[in-house]
Amino acid sequence: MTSPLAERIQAGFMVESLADTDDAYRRALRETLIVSGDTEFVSAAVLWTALDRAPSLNSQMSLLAVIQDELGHAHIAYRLLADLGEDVEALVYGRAARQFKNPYAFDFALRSWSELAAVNGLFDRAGYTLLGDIHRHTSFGPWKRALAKVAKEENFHIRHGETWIARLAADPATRPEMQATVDWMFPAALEFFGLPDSLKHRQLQLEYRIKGHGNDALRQQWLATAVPFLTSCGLRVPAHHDAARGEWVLDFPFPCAFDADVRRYDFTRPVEWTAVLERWKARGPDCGWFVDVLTRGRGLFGVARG
Amino acid sequence: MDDACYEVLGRSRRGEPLRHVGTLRAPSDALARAYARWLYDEERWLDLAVVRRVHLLGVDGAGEA
Repeated sequence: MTSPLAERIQAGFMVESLADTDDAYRRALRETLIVSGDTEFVSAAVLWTALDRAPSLNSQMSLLAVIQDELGHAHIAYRLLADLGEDVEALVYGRAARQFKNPYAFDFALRSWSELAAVNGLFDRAGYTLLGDIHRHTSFGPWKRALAKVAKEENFHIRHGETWIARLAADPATRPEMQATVDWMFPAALEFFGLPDSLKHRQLQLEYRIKGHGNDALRQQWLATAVPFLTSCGLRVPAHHDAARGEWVLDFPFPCAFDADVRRYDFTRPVEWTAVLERWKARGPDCGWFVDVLTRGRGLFGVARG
Repeated sequence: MDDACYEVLGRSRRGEPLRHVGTLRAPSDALARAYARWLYDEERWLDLAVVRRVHLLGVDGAGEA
């Protein structure tokens, strides 16, 4: 049963203010913006953990530029939430770390520069796929306009990641580590897109065109650029294009068991999505201190807001 | 209305309109300028300006919703 607003939106209506919305629209938009804001916010802490792995002054500066961008993107999502009436102070500073809605893969500190390269080349590509879809299709005008900046900058992050992945994969000395990184971060990136469409009950985000495509289509879009790139670097990737089906196919059971201690997906142990949801809910090893690092300075010097 | 909220306007090239690029909150005009420069650095703006949201006055009912 679609609402009158959903029908207008399907016919091309753009939402510009709260007065245009109904309760269900606001709930769907709020949820999507919180996931976006939290993901960008926490990613800044994740990236920070690679600063002491940067192989040169230039690469350190590039990484700092990426961190600055991610905080700027979080700012955009949280600003939009504030304009929707959300108490953003409480949202950012009042929640426990485990309540942040970032993807599971951003609950891990980076151990190497190759992991930083994969964050930029694979995870930011997932972010770009998800936000690019919103940029092109969303019915919420203020977000559509704000995402012009985000798309430009995430594109730079992906190029940064690709440059380093290609470089580390080309050198025999660093290639095994780059391959081992891709082995766990490739499936982890696929999890960014969430449950398959077949397991989703009602897709308010699509009815209200908060975003344009479902999880399955967006996962395919990601595969369509990630797999050819990684393969061109000579890296092994557990996925291929099936010309007869006209889609990208994974060469391993998805989802499958993951050992967070050694960061390894076990392709011999398929699991149900309920097990994945439990793993996500239990959170990864570095979830707590990431949020602490980002929020502990609140209120210093009497500056509580702005 | 939130009187610490600013709208950010930018012009990329000569001949182009000044367009809305985003919003921010700041406790003073000076900090609003500084935040705008750092937050909206995706382009080398020809012009970049901030204006307090409360100073945007709706005309003929527009913007009063």
